[in-house]
This record gives sequence, C-alpha cells and structure tokens, in this order.
Amino acid sequence: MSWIVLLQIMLLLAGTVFFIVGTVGLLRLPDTFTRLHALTKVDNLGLGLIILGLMPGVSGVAVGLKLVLIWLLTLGASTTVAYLVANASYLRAGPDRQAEAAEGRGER
Amino acid sequence: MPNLTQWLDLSSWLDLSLWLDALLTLALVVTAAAALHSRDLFRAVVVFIAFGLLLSVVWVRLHAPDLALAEAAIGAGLAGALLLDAVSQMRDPERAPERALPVAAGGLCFGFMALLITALWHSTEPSPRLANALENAMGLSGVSHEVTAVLLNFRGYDTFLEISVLAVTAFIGLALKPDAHASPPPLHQLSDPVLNALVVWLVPVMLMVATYIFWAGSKQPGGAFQAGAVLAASGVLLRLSGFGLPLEGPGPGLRIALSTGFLAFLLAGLSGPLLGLPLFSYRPESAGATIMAVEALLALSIGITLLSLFSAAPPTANNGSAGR
Repeated sequence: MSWIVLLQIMLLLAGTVFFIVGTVGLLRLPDTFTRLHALTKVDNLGLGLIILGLMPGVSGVAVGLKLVLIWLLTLGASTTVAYLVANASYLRAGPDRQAEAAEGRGER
Repeated sequence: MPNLTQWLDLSSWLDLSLWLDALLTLALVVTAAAALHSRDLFRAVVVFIAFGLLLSVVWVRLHAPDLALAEAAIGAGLAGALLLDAVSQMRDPERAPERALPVAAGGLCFGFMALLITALWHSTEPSPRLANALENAMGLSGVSHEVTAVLLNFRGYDTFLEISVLAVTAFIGLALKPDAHASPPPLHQLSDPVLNALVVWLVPVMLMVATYIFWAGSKQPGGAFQAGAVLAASGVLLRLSGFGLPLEGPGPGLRIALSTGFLAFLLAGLSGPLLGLPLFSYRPESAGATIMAVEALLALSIGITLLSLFSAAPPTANNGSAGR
C-alpha cells in the first residue's frame, strides 16, 4: 500500500467523521442556530476532506476540476442557505430565542 | 446486480458492493415507508426528497446514469420543490388518517413484489437479441450514445408521446391557474444581498451545466430531459429568490415556448414519410444534426414546461417573502 493510498484513506475517514459528527449535531443540538453550526462543518470540512481524498484517484485534470467545482458550489449554496435559515429564524423568533421554531420548519 | 444463484455462494457475501447495495435497498424501503406514514406533510416531503436522492444512487449502481440524472433533477429536485410549495399553500398540513386505501395499495404492491421476485427467481439469462440489434444499428442512429439513439431515433415515437403528455400537462396547469389572464402578481422582493449574490453567480453556472448536459447527450449520459430539468431548476431558483422571469405571464410567448419542442419533434417525425422513410425515422447522414436540433428545442420546452408547472401554483399569500 503506497503512502498516497494511505493518505487517501485517512482523508476519506476524516471526512466521514465530520459527516457523522455533523449529523449527530443536527439530531441532538437544541436549536436552529447550533444545528446550523454543526451542519456547516459538514459541508466545509467533511466534503472538502472527501474531495481532497478522492483527488489522487481521478483519471484526469478535467475530472479533478469538476470535483473542486462541486465542492465550491456546495460551499456557496450551503453558506447562503445557512445564512438564510438563521436570518429567517432570527427574525421570526425576535428577542425570545426560546420561542423559535425548534423543528426548523417553514424556511423554504 | 449479482445473479440469484450467486446468493447461495458464501464467498460472495464478503463482497463489499453487495453490502452497499443491501444498505441502499434498505434505506430506500425505510425512506419510502417514512414518507408514506409521516403524519406531518412537510416531513413527508423532505423524506420523499431523500428517497429520490437515494433512488438516483440506486440507478447509478444499476449502471443507468441517464436515469440517475433524471431522477435526481426531476424526481428529487423539481418534484421536491413543487411538493414543498404545495405543502406551504395548504392551510392545515396535517394528514387525515385513511386506512382502506393504503391497505389496498400496500397489498397490491406486495403482490406485485412477490410476482417480480418469482419472475427473477425463474429468470434465465436475458435475451441478447435487443442489445445486439441496437449495437448493429448504432451506425445508423447519428449519435454514439445508446440511450439517446433509442430515445430520439429508434423509439422516437415513444418519446414523442411523452413530450405530448408533458405539453398537455403544462397547458392544463396554465388553465388551472387561478386567474389565467391576469398578469402575475408582484413577486415578494427579497432584496437580500447574500441571496442575490449567490443567484447571480449560480444561474450562469446552471445554464452552462444545462447546455453541457444537452450537448453530452449525443455521446454520453445526458440529453434533453436532464438539461431541461436543470434549466427549470435555475428558473425555480430565480423565482424563489424574487426575480421576475420574462416568460411567466400567460402571454403568447409562453405558449409558443411550451409547444416549440413538441412541434419540432412532430416536424422531424413527419419528415421521414416525406422522404419515403417510415414515421419518426431519419436518414442516417442527417440523423445526428436532426436529433441535436430536436433535443435543443426539447430541452428549452421541457425546462419552460417544468418551470410553468411550478409558477402556475398560486403565489404564497400568508407566509410571504419565501419564508421570511
């Protein structure tokens, strides 16, 4: 097993750990803001590490660039969506953070 | 997919891909059951979108990337947006408990599943005749991707009927629009700088992806349906973000756009008999160009059809501003 494959395995495992931790956070954390905090780690670091781990195995530059593009698109979309959800939740809850919709529904 | 006799072989149980397939199948059944049984309709829709994404992974595992693309874009993406929109329109999104129909439908499904399993169990090797016939005829098709060759050339008649159904659906959607002749009500202006910045960057990329998927269809997975779905998705994104779209009104522009793909396909199909060929068949030397031209117009029409189905829904009145 070459060191590149070993590095790939480490990166993919690390990415998976971020996904698991983020999902546990989504399920366990009490309110919208803390859940978003957990979820953004998944998109930023989890997917980033997995893409990085897949990089040495791709067949060409074009495929590698497509993978990077997927990561960048996910970053942009998830950052914006996290902001929109947080903003909507903040405006809806007003000063009383306890009253905000704990289910996180209603945000489209 | 492993042959059923292989299941009795113990060594095949060490195959990791088998476990992946089993896990996927299990997840598919669980999400399907959860989508059906959730009393909260919003939750049911979200689970249904997850079900669609899982299903597209299953299509990839079955070596059907064309179907996977279509399922992800239409089944999970656009249908999900439509259903979310429908749920947000409903005054009381709690589901009335019904018992008789689900039981009957479930019984029917299980009966069909038993029939399928029996058929698979007794199946012999698949007949190679169709695959061979396709391989031999590929030179005449004008394209190098088998799925496109079948959909647009060899079985063009089937695809034409599908497009007709889609066009009829779009016109019914327009007819059901609450006030079909009024111009659309002013959209809620989000004027959110972050969302605007994302949309301004994202929509050109989505249009490029749609064009690429259409163009790729001649030699690899892709084509008019998938490209149209991405096109419609960028329209949905624009609409949800508060941007007005020129084709949203019920004017003649929309009607022409909706019927262009259908008419182009019909003309291409009728050109066969004029040249002394059967209906919906093209001369091999011009088949490639004809297919690409028809597909380009189809992609546009499909995109606008799917988008018009989305925007035919009455505007959100109460919770306005798309969730703000």
